[in-house]
Amino acid sequence: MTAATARLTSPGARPRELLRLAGPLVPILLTGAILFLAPAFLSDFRQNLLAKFLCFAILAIGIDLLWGYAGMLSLGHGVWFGLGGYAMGMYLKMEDADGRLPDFMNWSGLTAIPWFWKPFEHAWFALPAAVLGPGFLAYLVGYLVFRSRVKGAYFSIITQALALILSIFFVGQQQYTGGTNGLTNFSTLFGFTLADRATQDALYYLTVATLLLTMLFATWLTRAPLGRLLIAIRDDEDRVRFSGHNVTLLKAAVFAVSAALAGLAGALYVPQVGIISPANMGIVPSIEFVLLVAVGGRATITGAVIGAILVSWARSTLSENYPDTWLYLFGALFIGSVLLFPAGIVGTWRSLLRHRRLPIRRPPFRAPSAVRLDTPGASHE
Amino acid sequence: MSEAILKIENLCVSFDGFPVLDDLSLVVARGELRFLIGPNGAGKTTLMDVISGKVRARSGRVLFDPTVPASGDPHPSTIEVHGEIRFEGLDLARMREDAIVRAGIARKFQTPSVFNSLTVAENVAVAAAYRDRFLRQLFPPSPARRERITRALEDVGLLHRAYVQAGALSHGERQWLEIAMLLVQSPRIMLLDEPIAGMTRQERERTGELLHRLAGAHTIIITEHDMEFVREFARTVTVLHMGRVLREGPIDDIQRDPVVREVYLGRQKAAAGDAA
Repeated sequence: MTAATARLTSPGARPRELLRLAGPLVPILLTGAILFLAPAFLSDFRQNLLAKFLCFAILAIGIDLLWGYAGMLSLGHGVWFGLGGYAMGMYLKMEDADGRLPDFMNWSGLTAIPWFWKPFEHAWFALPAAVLGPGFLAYLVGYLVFRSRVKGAYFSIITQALALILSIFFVGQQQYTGGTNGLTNFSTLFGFTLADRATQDALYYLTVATLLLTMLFATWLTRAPLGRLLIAIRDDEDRVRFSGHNVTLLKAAVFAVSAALAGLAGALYVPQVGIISPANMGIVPSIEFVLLVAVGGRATITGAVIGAILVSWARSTLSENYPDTWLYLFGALFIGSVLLFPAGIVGTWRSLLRHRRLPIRRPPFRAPSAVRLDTPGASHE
Repeated sequence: MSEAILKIENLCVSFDGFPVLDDLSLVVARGELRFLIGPNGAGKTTLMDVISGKVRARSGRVLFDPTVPASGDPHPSTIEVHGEIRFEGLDLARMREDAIVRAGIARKFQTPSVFNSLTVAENVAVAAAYRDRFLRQLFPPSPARRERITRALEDVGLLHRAYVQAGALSHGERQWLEIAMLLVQSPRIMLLDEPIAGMTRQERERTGELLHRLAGAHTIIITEHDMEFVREFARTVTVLHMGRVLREGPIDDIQRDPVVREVYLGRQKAAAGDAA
């Protein structure tokens, strides 16, 4: 139920009303509690891995808003993740170089810092750029694509092409982007040594906090009237248009929000993993990002987070234990879970709950004093 | 005669060179309940498509520009639209469909199209938010808005079904829900494409009465196949045939008109005779 219908419930439903507002916060608080306590039980290495998974969870929420709610399947979110990561990487490189030429530029024969690298020496530019840059670019791309009424598979293909083009472009521009190797060998962030335990701890908690805020934001967004509007677009885009909404702008805006979250995830990922390269932004990672949401459950925020953590965890566990065959196992796991649970983990869980609760009806609806349409003959309706 | 709210002049529409509307002119007065009737292929739905912007020339008043139809659109790729559709000083032929709705012309489709994953009340809420800015949609609707949603549901008799998912509604209820989605916007012109299709007899009666109650405050243009319904509820009728206006007038005159009987009523009678 949304706020839109709140007026329609009986005024005596106050406590239930409170529960309705507080209910969605439970998964967020639970996630927060688990993640804040987790470092006590994890080795430094595992904690660092978890932080990486949490970055993917932020990105998965963005994909969920776009795909699960508004029905647009982007197979190119690596682009936005990568752009956010590169913006952060450029800042780290500039900080390390401290006015001199970053190492890889030296090797590629550049003699001066390129003009578009210059602003990235300032954190106040690089950090917002990591989030707003992808958001703005996605809005532009989205506006052009959606204006010509491109949708469904065609939209997916365009986003996939974008991922391919950009990753090839980044490989080709070695002197500016570090080529295939990407940007790596970072040593400090805001003057703190990245290898330090305390720095990594701080980054971990920052990631947890960002994830919780993202969950809160997404929960608010999807429970607001806008969330219903997104589902309406997924159901029947043309009907939304004929209801007087500017669907082109709405879709572009959601695409932008989703891309901005991906950029945010990329920016958090880089200082903790220590590298960003075209391998993070091509087609394969883009498809893996979608799998996170598919396994966790579309159109549920918690599902996106659970999916992101579980899938990433399975991926790394399998690759550690079966270095030769892990890709096959990973693929089989994915195919199996999508075949068995097409609604995802959370979606399946919810439908199980619904079935169990079936005999209990929703709160009775306030009986209208008079249904004005009723003719005497039809009054029993 | 009260003042005209919608004026269509010399409208020609052709799909792939095949004329569907042929030099059609039509004036609808404010507050009128106007029935459009005519045999299949007369151009009734196309006329609504042009008014509501579903079929549209890309720019300019008179154009040869092939319009890109929305996907899923059954219309072929080459569409020509000539002529003028005037509404409150606006030329509708140049406007996008959502802008036309915001200007005050709402449309109900032949096959009821509602949002199946949303509840009945949410469906109406989506329609009610049609003039909201993006950021406004992040906050709950105002009490006045909720009141209007409740009233629209009450008007079509769906208030007791407000929390049911629209996908679970019967065909007739879906028709009413779509009408409620129009009502909540209180449009100046409502275009209803066969609103009673698939309804039971009782439901038709209620719909007919609803239409009469709404006419006056709203201008309603309605296409209908069901002659019994037309006879019972129509006042002014426009008969379309081969993309032209064949006759226009009070329903009693139309029924007596020999030409109309031949192209339309007669054909129905013949069909009825065959069936019997």
